[in-house]
Amino acid sequence: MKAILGWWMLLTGATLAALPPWVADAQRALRDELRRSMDSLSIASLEKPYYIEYTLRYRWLARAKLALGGTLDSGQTRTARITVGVRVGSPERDNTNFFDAAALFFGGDDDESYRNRIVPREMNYALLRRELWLATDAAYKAAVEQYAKKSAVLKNRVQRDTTPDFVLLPPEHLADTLAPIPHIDLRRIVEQLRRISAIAREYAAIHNATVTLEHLPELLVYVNSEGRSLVKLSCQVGIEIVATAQAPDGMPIAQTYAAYAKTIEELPTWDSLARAMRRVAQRLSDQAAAPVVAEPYSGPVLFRGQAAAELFAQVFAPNLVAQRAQLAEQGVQEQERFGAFQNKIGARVMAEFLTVESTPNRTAIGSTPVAAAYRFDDEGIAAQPLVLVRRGYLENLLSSRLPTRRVRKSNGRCRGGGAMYDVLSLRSDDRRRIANDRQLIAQMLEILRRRDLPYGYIVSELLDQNLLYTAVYQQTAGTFPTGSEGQIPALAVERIWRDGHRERVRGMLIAAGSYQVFRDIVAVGESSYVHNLLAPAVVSPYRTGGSQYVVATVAVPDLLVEDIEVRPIDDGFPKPPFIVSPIEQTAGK
Amino acid sequence: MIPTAVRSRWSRNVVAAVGAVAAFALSSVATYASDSTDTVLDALRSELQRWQAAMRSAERPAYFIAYWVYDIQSVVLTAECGAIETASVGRQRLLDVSVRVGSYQLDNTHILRGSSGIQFGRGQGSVDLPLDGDELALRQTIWQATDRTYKAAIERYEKVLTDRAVKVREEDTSADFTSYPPQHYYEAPIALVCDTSVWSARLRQLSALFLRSADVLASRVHLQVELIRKYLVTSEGTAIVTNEPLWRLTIVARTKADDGMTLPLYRTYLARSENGLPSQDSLQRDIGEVIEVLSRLKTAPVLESYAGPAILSGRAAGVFFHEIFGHRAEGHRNKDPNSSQTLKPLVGKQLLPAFLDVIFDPTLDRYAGVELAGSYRYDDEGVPARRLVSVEGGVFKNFLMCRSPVEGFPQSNGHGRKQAGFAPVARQSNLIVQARESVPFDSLKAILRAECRKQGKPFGLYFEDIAGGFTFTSRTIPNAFTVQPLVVYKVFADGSPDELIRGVDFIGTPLATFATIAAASRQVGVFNGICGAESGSVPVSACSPALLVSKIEVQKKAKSQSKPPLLPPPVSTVEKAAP
Repeated sequence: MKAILGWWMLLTGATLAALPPWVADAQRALRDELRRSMDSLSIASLEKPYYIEYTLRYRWLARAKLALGGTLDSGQTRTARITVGVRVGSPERDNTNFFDAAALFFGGDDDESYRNRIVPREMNYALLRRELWLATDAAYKAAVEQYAKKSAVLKNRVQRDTTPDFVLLPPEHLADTLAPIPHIDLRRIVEQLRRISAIAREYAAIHNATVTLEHLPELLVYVNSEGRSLVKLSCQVGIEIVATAQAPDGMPIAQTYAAYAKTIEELPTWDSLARAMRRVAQRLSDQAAAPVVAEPYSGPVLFRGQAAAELFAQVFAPNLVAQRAQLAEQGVQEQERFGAFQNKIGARVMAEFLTVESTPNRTAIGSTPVAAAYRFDDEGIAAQPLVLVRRGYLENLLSSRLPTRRVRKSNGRCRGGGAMYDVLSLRSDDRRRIANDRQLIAQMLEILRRRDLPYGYIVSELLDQNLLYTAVYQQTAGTFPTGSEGQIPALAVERIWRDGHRERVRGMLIAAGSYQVFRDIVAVGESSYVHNLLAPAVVSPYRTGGSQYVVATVAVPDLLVEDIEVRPIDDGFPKPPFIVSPIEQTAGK
Repeated sequence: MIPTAVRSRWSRNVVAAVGAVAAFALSSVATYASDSTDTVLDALRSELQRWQAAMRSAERPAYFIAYWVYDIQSVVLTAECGAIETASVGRQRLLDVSVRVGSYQLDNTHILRGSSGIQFGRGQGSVDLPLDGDELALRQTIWQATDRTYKAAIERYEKVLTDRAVKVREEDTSADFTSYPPQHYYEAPIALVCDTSVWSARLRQLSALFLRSADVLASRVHLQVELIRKYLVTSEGTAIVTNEPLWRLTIVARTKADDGMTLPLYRTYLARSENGLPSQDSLQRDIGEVIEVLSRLKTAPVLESYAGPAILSGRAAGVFFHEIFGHRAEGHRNKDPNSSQTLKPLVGKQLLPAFLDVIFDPTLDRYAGVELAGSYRYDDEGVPARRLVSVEGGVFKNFLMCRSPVEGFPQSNGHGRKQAGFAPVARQSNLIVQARESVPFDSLKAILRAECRKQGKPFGLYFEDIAGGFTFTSRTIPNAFTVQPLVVYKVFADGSPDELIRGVDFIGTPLATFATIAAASRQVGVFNGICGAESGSVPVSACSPALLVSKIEVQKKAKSQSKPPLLPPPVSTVEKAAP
C-alpha cells in the first residue's frame, strides 16, 4: 500500500473497508473538536493553544495464563482511550520540557484526565466529542499553568541552550490499515497452552511454570492541528514461558522462553512451543544440579545467541535514543539513565569494526519475522532506515518530535509515548573479525592463556528485564537474586577451562556496567540471532504517560568480549522447601 | 492504611473494567452435606494433612494452619452517556494461607512494638490458584504458598520473642489467638446468572438520562455482580464452604460550581440477588433526582463555619455511627499500644443517651424492608455469626471480637472478617441503631427549630446524604472525625423553607458528639456499602433512625481551584441529548 494517502482517500478508499464502521465517525469527532478547540479555547489574558493533538487507541486484548496445566486467567477485553496534547506559547518556547514535580506526584487540580482517558468502547461521534471537550479543557488549563511556571523560572536563568521546544511540520495524511483486525479463537488457544504448560509436571525439580499469551491488536487514530493525521492498525502477540524452582542449596533459579510477533501465525507452532517448554523444564532441572559460581571473575566471556542479543538490548541499544534534559524549578535535570550518547555523535562508542543500523520497515530478518517493524510512528511520521553507528562511531540517534541539542527533527521513532529503539542490527564490517563457533572458542582460549586465567565463561542466555519484573520476580515471591544496578542475571552459563572442557554452572551476574563493554568486543559470530523482545521504554512512562514496555527487535551475532566482570550471587536466599512438592512426591511414587 | 487511623470508604466509586461479556451458568442447589467431589476442598485437605504431618518433626512447628480460597466470578459493566464504556466477565481463584508458630498465648502474629507499618490485618497477599479442577496443579500452588508463609512465620516469631524480651510489659496481656471447636458446613456451587445484554441495555438507557442536563459534567452507571465461593479449611478440623453473591449498582454523577467546587452525588444499591436491585423505573426516578439536586447544588450558597444543632438523616446517622462508633468498637484495637482505645475504659458505662441501643447483627438479612449487605453465616475465622448487643440503654457493653482476644473479652463473637489477601480482624457487620423513644420526622424538625431558638441560632442543619468519612484512633493524632456530607440543608428557626447549601464537612470528636444526641425519629434509614479497613473491604450495613444532635461543628471543605470548562459542551452532544 502506498504510504501517503489523501484525506479523501482515507474516508472513501479501500483502507477503511477493513476497519470498524465507527472509525470514520471517530476521525470526524477528533477533527471537529480539534478545530473548535483551536478556534475558541482561551483564558482572558493567557496564551491560546498553538498546537493540539489527539490520539485515540482502541484495543482488543485477548490473554491467557496457565500454570502446570491449570488456567490462572483467560479473557478478552476491549478498551478505548484518548490522549490529548496541548501546547501554548510558541515552538521556540512552550509549556513542554518542564518538570513539574507537584503535578507529577500530586496530580493536577482538575477532575478530568487527559492522558490515557478511558472513553466508552461503544464509539459514537457525540460522545467522543464530549470526552475530547473535557479532556482538552483540562489539558489546556494544565498547559497554561506549566507555561507560566516555566516562564517564571526562565526569567531568573541564563539559558544557553537554544534548542526549540517543538518544530512544526506541514500537513500529511497517512494510513497503514490494509489488514483486517485480527481475531483469535481463545478457547482453542487455551487448550494448547494447557497441554504445553502441563509438560512441566513431568519435571520433579520444578516449583512453578507458567505459560502466558497475549494478543493485542490496536487501532490508532491520530490528528493534530498541523493537519497531520494517521490511522494505523497494528498487532502484537507474545508468548512467555517462565519456570522457577529452588536449587538444593535454596538458591532461587529460573528459566524462560519468549516469542513475540505481529500475528499468531508468525509465532512458533504449538509443537515447537511444546518443545520450548520441555527445553526450559530440562534446563531448569539441570541448573538445579549445577555447581555455583563461587568467585568474582574478570576476563573474556563469549555471549551466544539470545545472550548476545539481550546484552546489546539492555546495555547498548537504549543509549541510541535521543533524550532531552528537562527544565525544572531547581534548574535543568540532566537525563542520566541511558543518556550516555546525547553528546557523543561523532565519537567512538564501540569496537571499530562494528556497525549498528535501524531498519524499522524491515518485516523479516532471514526467516524470522520482525515483531517491531512499522511504517509510521505514533506521531504520524514515516520511519526511515538509519545508520546509527558506523565502524564504531556514533552517527545518529533515534528521535521523536521532541527536539534535542543534536537531533532537532523526528526520524519517526515515537512509539509507546516517546522515542524508542526499534529494529536494530549489529554487524561487523570487517570480515577478519567474523568467526565461526569453533574459531570464537579458540580465540577465547587464546585470551585465557595469554592472561593466565584458568577458565572463562560462555553465556547463552541472559534474563530478559520484562520477564524478570513481570513474571520471575512474582513467581519467586521477590526472592530471585537480581544483583545491583547494571547487573544482569545469567540463566544459561558454561565454564570453559583452558583445556577446552566445559561444565554448566549457576548463580552468575554479568556486571556489564555501561556501553563501554562494546568497545571490548574482539570478534563476532557468522550469523545473527534475531531477538524480538518487550523492552523497557527508554523515556520514562512517568514522563510520557505511555507504555512501560515496547516491542523491539535486535539482530546480533555471537559476541566475544575481551574483558567483562562476572559476580557470583552471594546474597542470602531462602532455605529449601520444608517438605517435597506434590509434583516431586507424585514423581517419587 | 495508617495502622491506627481508620478510614472507612463507603465504596461508591466506579471501578473501571474491561472485556467481553457472557453469562455464567453453574448448578444451583444449596445443601449441608459435604461434597467429596469438590477438587478445591480435596486439594486443601490433602496439603493440610501433609503439612500437619511434617510439623510433628519440625524444630519450630506451626500450631495452626488455615487456608482460605476465594473463587470469584464477576460481571462488571459501566455505561456513560448511553454507551457501554467498559464490560468484563472475570473469574479468579485466590488462596490465602495463615501459619501460626508458637502457641495460642504467644505466636508470630503478636504485635511488634515500636515497629512501623501495618500489623493488624497484614497478610502475605493472595496467590492465584488454577481455575480448573486439576488437583495436582492446585496442590503445587498450595504447597509453595504454605512453604513461604511458614518460613515467614518462623522469622517473625523470632522477632516477637526478641521484642518481648527487650520491651516493657504489655498493657494487654491476653493471648494472641483462641481455639475454636471445628465447624463443618458445605454449600454446593450455585449459579451466577447475569444476562449482560439485558443489563447493557438497561445501563445504556439509564446513563443516557444524564445527557439531559448541561450541569452534569461526568456520570457513570456501574453494575458489579460477584459470586464469591469461599473455602476455609483449618488444622483445627474446620471446613466451611459458602457462596456469597453480591449485586451492586452504582450511580455516580458530578457537577462543578463556578467557584471550582466539585460536587458529586452517588446512589448505591446492594443486594444478594438480581431481584433485590431496584426496578428500572425506580432507578430512572433516582437519576432524575440526582440531576435535579446537582443542578441546585451547583448554584447553592457556600456555608461558612458553623456550630449548632443538626439532624442526621437515618442513612447519614447510620454512616456516622459506623465511622465514629463502629470502628472504635472493633476489639483488636485494644491490643495496639499506639491506639487511643477510646472505648476501653467505658465498658459498663454510659456512652450514649439512655434511649439508644446499638446492635451488630450479621444473622439479619433484612431491616426496615431493605436487604442488608453485612450478613453472613460464618465469619472468616470459622466462627458462626451471632447477634451482639454492643450498647444497651446507652451503656457500652461489648466489643466486636475476632479470635484474637483482648482483656475482658476472651472469645470471638463471630466478627473476624477479611477480604482476600488480608488477615482477619474484628470488623462490623450489620450495625443497627435502635431508639427506645422516637418521634415522627416532622416532629424531629420541630425540635431542631426549637433547639435553634434556644441556642440563639437562626438555623440548624439537616444532613440528608453523606459520602462517608474517616476517623483517627491513634494516640499521636487528635482523635477527631470528619464526615463528608453530600446534601445539606439549612433548616430555619423561623420556619422559612429549607435551603440547600454546599461546601462543608462535619467534624468533631466522638465522645463529645455522642453526648449531644438528643432525639431520634421513628423512620429508619438503611445504608449498604463496602467498608475498607485493615483487613480489606467487606460488605456492611448501617441502619439508624434520623438523629438530632444538639451541637455539631462544620468546617469548609477542600475544593478544586480549577474553573468549570471554558467552552460549552459540543453542540452535537446537546442536540443528541434533547429529549
